[in-house]
Amino acid sequence: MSNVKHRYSSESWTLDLSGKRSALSRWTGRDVLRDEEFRLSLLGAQGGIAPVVWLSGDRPCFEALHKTVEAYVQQGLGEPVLAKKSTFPAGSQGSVISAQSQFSLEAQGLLRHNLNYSPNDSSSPRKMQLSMLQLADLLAVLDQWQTGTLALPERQSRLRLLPGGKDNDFVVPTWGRIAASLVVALGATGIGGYFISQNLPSSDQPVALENLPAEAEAEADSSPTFGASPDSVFGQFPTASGPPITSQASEGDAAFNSPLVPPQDAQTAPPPGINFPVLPLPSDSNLGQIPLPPTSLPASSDSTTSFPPQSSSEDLTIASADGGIVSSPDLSSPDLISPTPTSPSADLSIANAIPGTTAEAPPQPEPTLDDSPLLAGASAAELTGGESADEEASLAAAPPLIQQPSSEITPAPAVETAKIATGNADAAAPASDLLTSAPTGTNSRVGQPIPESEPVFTAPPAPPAPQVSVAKPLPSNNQSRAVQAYLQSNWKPPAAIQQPLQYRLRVSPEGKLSSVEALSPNAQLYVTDAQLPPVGGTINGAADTVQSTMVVTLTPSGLVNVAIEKTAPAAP
Amino acid sequence: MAPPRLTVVPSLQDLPAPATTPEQLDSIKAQLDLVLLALEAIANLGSEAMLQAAEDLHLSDIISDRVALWRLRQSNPLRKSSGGRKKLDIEEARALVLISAHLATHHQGSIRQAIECLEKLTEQGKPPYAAALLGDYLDRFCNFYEERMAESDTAVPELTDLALKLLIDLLFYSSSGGRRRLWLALLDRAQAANTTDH
Repeated sequence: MSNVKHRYSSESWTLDLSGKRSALSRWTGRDVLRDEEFRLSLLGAQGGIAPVVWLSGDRPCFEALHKTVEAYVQQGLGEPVLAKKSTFPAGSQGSVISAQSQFSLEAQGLLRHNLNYSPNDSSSPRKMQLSMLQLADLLAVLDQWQTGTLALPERQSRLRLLPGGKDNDFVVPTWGRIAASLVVALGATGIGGYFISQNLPSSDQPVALENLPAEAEAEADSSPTFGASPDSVFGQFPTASGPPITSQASEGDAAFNSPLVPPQDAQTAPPPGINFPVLPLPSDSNLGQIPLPPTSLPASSDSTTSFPPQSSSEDLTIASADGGIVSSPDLSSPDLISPTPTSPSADLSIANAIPGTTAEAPPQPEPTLDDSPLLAGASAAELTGGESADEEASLAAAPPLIQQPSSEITPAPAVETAKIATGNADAAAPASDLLTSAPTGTNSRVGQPIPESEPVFTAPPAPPAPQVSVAKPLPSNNQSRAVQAYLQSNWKPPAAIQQPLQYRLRVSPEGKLSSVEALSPNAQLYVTDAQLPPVGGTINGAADTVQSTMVVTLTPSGLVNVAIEKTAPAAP
Repeated sequence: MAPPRLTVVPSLQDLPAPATTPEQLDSIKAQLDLVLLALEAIANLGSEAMLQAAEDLHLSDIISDRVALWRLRQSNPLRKSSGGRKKLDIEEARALVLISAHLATHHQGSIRQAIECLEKLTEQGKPPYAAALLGDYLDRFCNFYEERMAESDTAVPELTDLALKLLIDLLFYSSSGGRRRLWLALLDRAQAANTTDH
């Protein structure tokens, strides 16, 4: 399964999508992806301003956004044009459409629209005012994405835990239970048949485990148990490479050695009506010893299908609004990653956006039939409270969901931010880490390993992690001092701002400001009020032997803080 | 290797064809004619461009020539002397939807530019006529409307509102899913009109 990155662009928005392409893409005409991660960026209206990541999230989040925007637009288009007074969408201000999601849109007159985002937690809702063009462009990029890709409907992370939080009480689809039951029955048949034919005088008699010879018992005891592999998802299921349960397994049985879903309690019993010797069912704790069919489609590269291999492990496809192909920076590039949690413009990450992922959180109702694979993903993203330590395991690695300025002023360099060794260590990981790789280590709170394939977006987050910067800014130089002096004489905070504004500036050795990047939506909004030096302009006294990248923090109280993030020697 | 991408060819079958009452069809005809009127005004189009679009979309068997197009548009009940003309059927309506969206896509630049002007002028509290692009569009639209529609004594402010609403709608019809949006909007409006009538 190769990594793939798509970029969907319109005049004012860019939607970056990274995910893993399934081999099914070959047959569908469009990409079939899993483990998708999205970043929606509003392109800067001012020259030299980098795109501001407005929203990061997973497919359910963006599908909700798409549905909301589409419904809002369609409602506006459906209004009779021959009405006496025509407005968009419904003729009156304040008309709101909420697609029962965390997004809603309301009209502000004919040409303005407020896009509201209300995270499913106690954090404050956010609002962005869109022009008509921005609204149309937003819909365009979301349309491009929807028509360009498909999602695999089944993922391991969609397994839901029961409110009790018992690690082995998983809810699996009905078909999964049936399949599991059949496999249990077949496995038992194979084992029973083997022992019957080898050791018992009469094959007509039922076989009990206690009647097995010692070597058979030893073999049974040495069978792999769930949890033996450190790479298993929840520490109790075999991995794809796990050995077969018996030596009698045929080659075809290898397909059953994929990541498995344990059945629920006694539902693993063979279906009635099958008449053959059956071994006593294992207890719950032993269920893992019985291989079950995979619940998700096999990975392309390691599957047994004969598809030709993907030509590359990572493709980059960028579709612009006009159909042109443009180059795209790597999503994992620190320069493109949204401000890290340690930045003053800290993200409102999933980890600190949705509280209540600890064991004290109220239990979720038991999933019902509505929890289809697709819906399960959506509800997982909308959970307001975690249910188990396993969910926390994935939550702790959750990437930022939306940019939100923070009142903290910690202009530490993003790339030098260290993970904080707390119980919620992964939650403090830099956004760049989270966007580019899933955690591979052991979660300290859960004590169970998290595989690399574990999606990081599909479950509610851990409580807010303390944002502590352990890295110190580099010492100041001529360029930072010049920028500081310039801004101190020019920064006059508007009365409206409540949060510090943060920008990343790059100053060339000649003392020219080469780029400005707003590090939060607020910073983007007030970029003209920030009185930054003009891009391309020379800053007095900023000539130096290096090129500096610095983070500038402008506080509502009028303070200016300049911290050098990195320096690079001047090109010869 | 990237998976092969299917080329999406606009087709009448892309648009659902629900059962419609004569009243709903009348509404669809009227709305479609107004959309085309706005397109004519913003992009300064004539029937040639529409016929060319029909050819591009392989719809020449439905809209073969200028007369056929004129007959279809004359089926708008709001038109002067619309009675007795050929009735628009659902397939012809879908063909006009494809043509409208196709033309809107081709002239998306003009549409965007006009809306950008409108947004700026609105922010500044100035009337739309203050920008040449918008002023020309509004003039043309009003002239076309008064020339062709039976209700030619509509007040200018109302016509301006109508023209601006249609301009904004064109922006959404010009995107990739525009033809579907236009068709659904026509059905919605027809449904609303039918409900109002009853």
